[in-house]
Amino acid sequence: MKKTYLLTTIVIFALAIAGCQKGFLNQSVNPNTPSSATPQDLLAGALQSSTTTTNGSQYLTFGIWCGYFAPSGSYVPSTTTLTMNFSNTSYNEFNFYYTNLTNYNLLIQDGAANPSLVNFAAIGKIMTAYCYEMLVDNYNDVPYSQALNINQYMFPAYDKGPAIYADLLKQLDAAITMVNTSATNPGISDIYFGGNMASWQKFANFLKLRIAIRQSNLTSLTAGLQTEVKSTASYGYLDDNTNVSAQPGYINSTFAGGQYAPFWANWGISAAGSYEPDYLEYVANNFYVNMLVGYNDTLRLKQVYQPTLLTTQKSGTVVPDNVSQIVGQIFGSNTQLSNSNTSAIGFGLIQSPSMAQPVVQGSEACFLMAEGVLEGYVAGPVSGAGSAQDYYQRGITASFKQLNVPNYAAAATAYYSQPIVDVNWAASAAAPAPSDKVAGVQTNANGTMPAGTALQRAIITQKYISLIGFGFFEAYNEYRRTGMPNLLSPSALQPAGARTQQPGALGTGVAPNRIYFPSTETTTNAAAVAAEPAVNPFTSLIFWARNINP
Amino acid sequence: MKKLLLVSLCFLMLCITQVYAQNRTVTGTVTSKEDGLPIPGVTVKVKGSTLGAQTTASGKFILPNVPANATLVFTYVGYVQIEQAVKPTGAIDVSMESNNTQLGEVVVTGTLGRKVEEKATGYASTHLSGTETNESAETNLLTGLTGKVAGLNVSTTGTGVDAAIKIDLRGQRSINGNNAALIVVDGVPLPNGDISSIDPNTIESYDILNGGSAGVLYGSEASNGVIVITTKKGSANGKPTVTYSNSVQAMQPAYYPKIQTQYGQNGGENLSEGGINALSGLFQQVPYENQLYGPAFDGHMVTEGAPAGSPTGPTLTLPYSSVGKNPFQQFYQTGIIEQNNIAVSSGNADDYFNMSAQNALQHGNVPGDVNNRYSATFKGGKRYGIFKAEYSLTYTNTEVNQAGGSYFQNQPIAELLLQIPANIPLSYFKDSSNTSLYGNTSDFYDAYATNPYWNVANSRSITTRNVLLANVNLTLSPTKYLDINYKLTDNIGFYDNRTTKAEVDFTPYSVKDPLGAGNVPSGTPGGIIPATVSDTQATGDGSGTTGLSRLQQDVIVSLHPTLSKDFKTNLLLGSTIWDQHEKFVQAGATQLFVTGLYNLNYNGGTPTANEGSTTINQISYFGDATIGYKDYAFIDGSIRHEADSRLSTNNQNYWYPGVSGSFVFTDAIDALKNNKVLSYGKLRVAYSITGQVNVNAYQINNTYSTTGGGFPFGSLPGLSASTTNYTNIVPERVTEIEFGTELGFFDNVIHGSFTYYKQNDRNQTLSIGTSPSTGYSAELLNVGQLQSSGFEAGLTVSPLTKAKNRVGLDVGATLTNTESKVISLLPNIPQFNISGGSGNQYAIVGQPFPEVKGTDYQRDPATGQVVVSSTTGLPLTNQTQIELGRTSPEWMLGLHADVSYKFLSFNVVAEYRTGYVADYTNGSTFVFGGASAYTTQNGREPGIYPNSVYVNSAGAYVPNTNISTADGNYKYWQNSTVGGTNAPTSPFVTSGAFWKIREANLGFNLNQFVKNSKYIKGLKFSLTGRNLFIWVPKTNFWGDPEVSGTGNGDTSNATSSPGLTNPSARIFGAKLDVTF
Repeated sequence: MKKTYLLTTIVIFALAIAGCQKGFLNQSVNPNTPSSATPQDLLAGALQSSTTTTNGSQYLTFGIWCGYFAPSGSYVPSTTTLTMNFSNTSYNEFNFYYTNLTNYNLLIQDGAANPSLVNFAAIGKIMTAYCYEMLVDNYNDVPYSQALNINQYMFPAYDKGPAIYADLLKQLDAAITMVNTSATNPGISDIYFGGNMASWQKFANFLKLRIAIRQSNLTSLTAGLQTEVKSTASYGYLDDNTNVSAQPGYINSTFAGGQYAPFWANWGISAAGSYEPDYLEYVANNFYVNMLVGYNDTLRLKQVYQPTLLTTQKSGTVVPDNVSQIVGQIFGSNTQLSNSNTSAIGFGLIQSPSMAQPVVQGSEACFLMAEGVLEGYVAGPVSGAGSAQDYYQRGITASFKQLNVPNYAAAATAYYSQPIVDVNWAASAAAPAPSDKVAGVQTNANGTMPAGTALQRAIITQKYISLIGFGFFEAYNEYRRTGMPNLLSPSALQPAGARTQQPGALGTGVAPNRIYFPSTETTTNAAAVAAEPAVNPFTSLIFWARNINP
Repeated sequence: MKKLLLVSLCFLMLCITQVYAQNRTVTGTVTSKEDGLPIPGVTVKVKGSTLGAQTTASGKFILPNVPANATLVFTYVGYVQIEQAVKPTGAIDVSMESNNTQLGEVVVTGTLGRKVEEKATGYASTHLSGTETNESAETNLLTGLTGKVAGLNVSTTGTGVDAAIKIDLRGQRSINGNNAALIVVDGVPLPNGDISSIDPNTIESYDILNGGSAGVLYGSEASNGVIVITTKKGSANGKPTVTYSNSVQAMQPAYYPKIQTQYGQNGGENLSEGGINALSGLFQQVPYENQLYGPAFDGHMVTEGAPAGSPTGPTLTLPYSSVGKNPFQQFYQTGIIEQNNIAVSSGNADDYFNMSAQNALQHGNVPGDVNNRYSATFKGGKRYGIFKAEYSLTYTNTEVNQAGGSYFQNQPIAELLLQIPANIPLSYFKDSSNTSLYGNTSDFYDAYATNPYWNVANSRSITTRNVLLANVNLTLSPTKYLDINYKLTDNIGFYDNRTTKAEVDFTPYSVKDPLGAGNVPSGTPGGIIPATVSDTQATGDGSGTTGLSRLQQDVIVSLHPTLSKDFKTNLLLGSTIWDQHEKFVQAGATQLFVTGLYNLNYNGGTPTANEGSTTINQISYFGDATIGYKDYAFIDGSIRHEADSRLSTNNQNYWYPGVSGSFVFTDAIDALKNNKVLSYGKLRVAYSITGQVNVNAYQINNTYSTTGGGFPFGSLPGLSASTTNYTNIVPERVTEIEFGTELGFFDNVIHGSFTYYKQNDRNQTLSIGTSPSTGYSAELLNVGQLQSSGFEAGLTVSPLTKAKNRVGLDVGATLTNTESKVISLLPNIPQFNISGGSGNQYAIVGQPFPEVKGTDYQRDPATGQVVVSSTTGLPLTNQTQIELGRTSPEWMLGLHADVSYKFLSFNVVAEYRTGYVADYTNGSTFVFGGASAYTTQNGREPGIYPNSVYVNSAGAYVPNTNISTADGNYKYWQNSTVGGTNAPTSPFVTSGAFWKIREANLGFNLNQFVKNSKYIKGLKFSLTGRNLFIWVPKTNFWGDPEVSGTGNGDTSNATSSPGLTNPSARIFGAKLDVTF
């Protein structure tokens, strides 16, 4: 018996040892996904993610609320959008910013650990500021000081929007001075500027200016913000020559989920020959059609919308034109027109699958500069190069160029030379200052918000026109900040035949001032969200905003 | 060593001999009364003595030294015990009748294939024979268990010819991990993906071991209970036996959502586009619409779609009235399942050779869907003195050919059907080719949906699975007290899928959108949708890209020394090493340019390519000791150590212990012996700690992946950090305690069993959703505890035995109660959203698991009545999510009855499940489109929302008697809070209760008619039926609550959440078994 036991034991152990060959239980090498990433790979990926976000279909909702597009009458892409009967699961602009911020944060850490990677860290900081500005503009208060540190804060507390804004300016200052031309250049992994770090410094300055002007209603802050913006003025700003667009090498290919420019991926035609969903599901908005017709802006109108497929119109506004008929859908109307009777998105917006993807258009940068000069944030002459008027007109020209208007320079000059208020600078200057149409001028701890000036109205109106397609969210931000363009209002979007069945629908004359915190926050970070003031989309305001509802 | 005492661990040699004087040697044959075939392994004992023997494979026994006036007692698992007086001369041949009520003696196959008598088991187990479970000619070896075993829940994921099943015992323990029972075939775990590749006819028996205690020796894989399957070995009489069986069954589509057949097409178009009659102002039929909110059918002639081919072409014109069958009934056909089996077996339990082959061919409910399975098994064994060698080889080839999604939005057939009004006969569209008048892609009447028959003809998914299950089993028995067993098993499969879609060419006429509807062709400006192909090849278990192959080595040393007359001991030591592996490569093209040639080389665009591989290794040692005292008290202790490659070096070694005991008090206590009422009584108790590694390979370290949206662009790569933060995971740990009893009354005419158990699963491996502001949207953690408890009761009553009464009657019931409660998650995390199903299912602290959570209407807190808006009359939604009910059945009741008379036998199995809800997320799709009968409840007329209240200006709830809705048609059902996407979750969460007739089989045992035939030894004919009827509550408009998951093979823990699948079927037919 003893021999048998011994034999048994030996057999078992012999076999077990055979199995214990080195590595049998070691799985530190993952054959499927990399365990590390170079800063170049991270940078290219993160910038592409940011580009997709800014031009993604999720911001289309703001484009609808701003009167650019409307849900198609042939498809029902979202009854939530149609009826505004939304909840905290309806729109989520929160999650993708933060998951991508992780990548920028890794770049900042890379730079801190290795001085030769400082340029990556500078870009990481600038893009972090860019993302947080968007987050604050969407949600007012978001996690900031405790964010991006899961090991320490699994439930990050929310920081107040004004405090985050203030810190972003400091971070941008740090990023501007961090740039070191002798350190490793990101090269082609920088899909925005190809490694031109001076352009990144201009982008940082643009962000500083935008953050400052965003708070223009908070008059007590203005002087300090003007000083802060001017402190780095020497690095220059974005304008019609230097602006932000992504080009990693977009091509007409279905590879890896589609290698199209992000806007094309949502609105264009797939390499296989079918329209992408947004093309069919959203059509021209009657408000924008009417507005541009009113400004005699048919050249841009024909670029942003196509003529309808049918030659005989059944209803709606028809633009008399030798070659085209452009019809917009009245958003939320009970008399929805089918796709054949409404205009689809135009080829000035969906230019090609390989188009460079605008992130900050030259026109947007110029209009911001125009306001910056006008309001004293940026030094500039009263007239001539560098003046507010100069930037205003360059902005219009840049917009014509962006939309591929034929002979854009001459066409733009002809356009803004027309003596129309909000088109022509001099005519606008001569116009009376707009009475603040927003009901009950808002007051808060920072003071009374000022009414806009006539020239500001012209700038924002032209900025609004130019932001179609690539700036839905910025248009919504400017509308909430200034109440402009003055033509835009919930009742203007939906003049008659209102859909009244839904409480809170546009037809009752209200539009959302903000969106809910996403449901993911209420489930994963409930205590922190509960500490925030309750959100009512129709009445709660972002700290710098006016109430757009009368 | 006492020379007269032999103790065996197996049923093969349970005999004790003694020498008597003046005795004779008795021989004889034992056969089965049912089929007349010999029964091997029957225990033959001399009553009142320890003298005994067992029948050989040919049913023969030799018993020397039998006293002259002795009585022989014949006992065998599952057969009625027979007592037969010894005759002075001649053979003693007996014929035994099957019976399931023998208690205690029943031999169950326990862990690692050990055969143990039921009385020695300390845990709940159920023994079923292969014949019992295959009476209705199943194609899947586990569906036949449904309704027959307490504590077992078999549910189908998906429908159609390749439906997968999900099988769990004692509910769910792991919140987000694996809850599937471990399937062990002949001692070796079977990869779950290989279940469908086994021919049910090759199964000898099933032993269902409900709890973790039974499976401690299988370690981390057995925490969810074990189903031990034993396959057939040898033939009964040593001579070659050939059996042939054929079954043909119809598979009738049976359980659909309720579809309306009263209203035609309208999607809310306005006056200017023809949706409203200009004169009457009423809604009218819109001939190209895919939403069914038009006027009620009235029989007048209407057109459908645009003129075919050209503006002057013919237009489909037909009466505006239901064709009698709804589109689902029109489309789905009755499928056919035909199975042919042939088996050749010879030899006995030691030296045998078996061969069996099967073809199972299923034609599904969707035209053109086929599942064709061929399998062949070769088994053999040989004993050379103390050495025994066995091998087994099973090869299965399965080809599944199914229709895929449409060319527009990849819609499945069920989704296309729900867009068709009931006034359109589908016969117009059966031909979807370009030569068809109305069925072609350009002229299909519907502007927004496509012809479902196009999917049938042009969108195919063809899967080929080749599975090889092979093992070698060597046993060395150098002494009577020692067996050394070595087993090497390789289960490997090859999966090959080709999914193709044909090119679509629209006519320029259709691209121009003749009706101005924004039709599907106009969405393709070039008029062409190119053909696509995707090929996936995987080496693993053959089930797809996630099933792992398994190479396993077991070494088991079994020692069974006899310590004393009263004590029987058994000591087992062993080691198992396994390696699981999978690798796949996928390649596809989306712009094929040669018509009809699905080859990547002829692709106009960039092909897609993906690959992945997984390896998991585990090494374990285990030991088990059993002590039996006087055959009425038993105690068993076991322990297992594992090292698993999925875990980090610090965490990869862990232990699992278990202990169980049983006590047969009717044998132990003299006063209870030979009691007429209580004939058998046993108490048992078991405690164990098991657990499982619920983390995937490589999932404990953070990784980076290619950034979505086109990378790499040329040579420019882009990587992004993973959105889950991985931490150092340890295995989940399940402690289980169970108590049970088995009782037999009136000579075991009544047999009852009852088990209570409680399980606590700690260290749940959860990917806890975190605020993305942490930088990650989830973190994989060991956190939380789920407690589940319940009881399993079984009762069998056999008032009449065929032997005594000519009529045999056997009725029984199983009752299962499953309660669960989430004890804890993380602080600040009161709920966890489980993946899969509708996405609405959660683990919520203090609630049963899983729980549906969602929105509901605002309700009057006092009465629960729905609150409507005081202006619109429409119900208001409460945005706060609330709990809407558990999705796992709280109660499952199985009933069965077997009646036999002469050569007739009839059995029926019914099952009832209740105490849970089903979450029909797709209900909103059926309502949105207007197809559901749910939308006809108010006759599509405006009215007062039933049983509602509103809040008056004083804030009080006032019964609503006067606030009518403005609309009762599409705006009410589609755009308001009543239906569509604005509706709360609650209308689509309904009771999941159902009664089903699972099986009904009528058998004709024709043995007596072929008795004199030279060649035919047995003949049986049966009429079989499965899932014949279902009854659901009136509130269920949505279909079969048993179907779970979003499609075949959804293995998530989300239950009772049917997707947009094809209907489930009723199966009935006939079966013929011939033995040569």
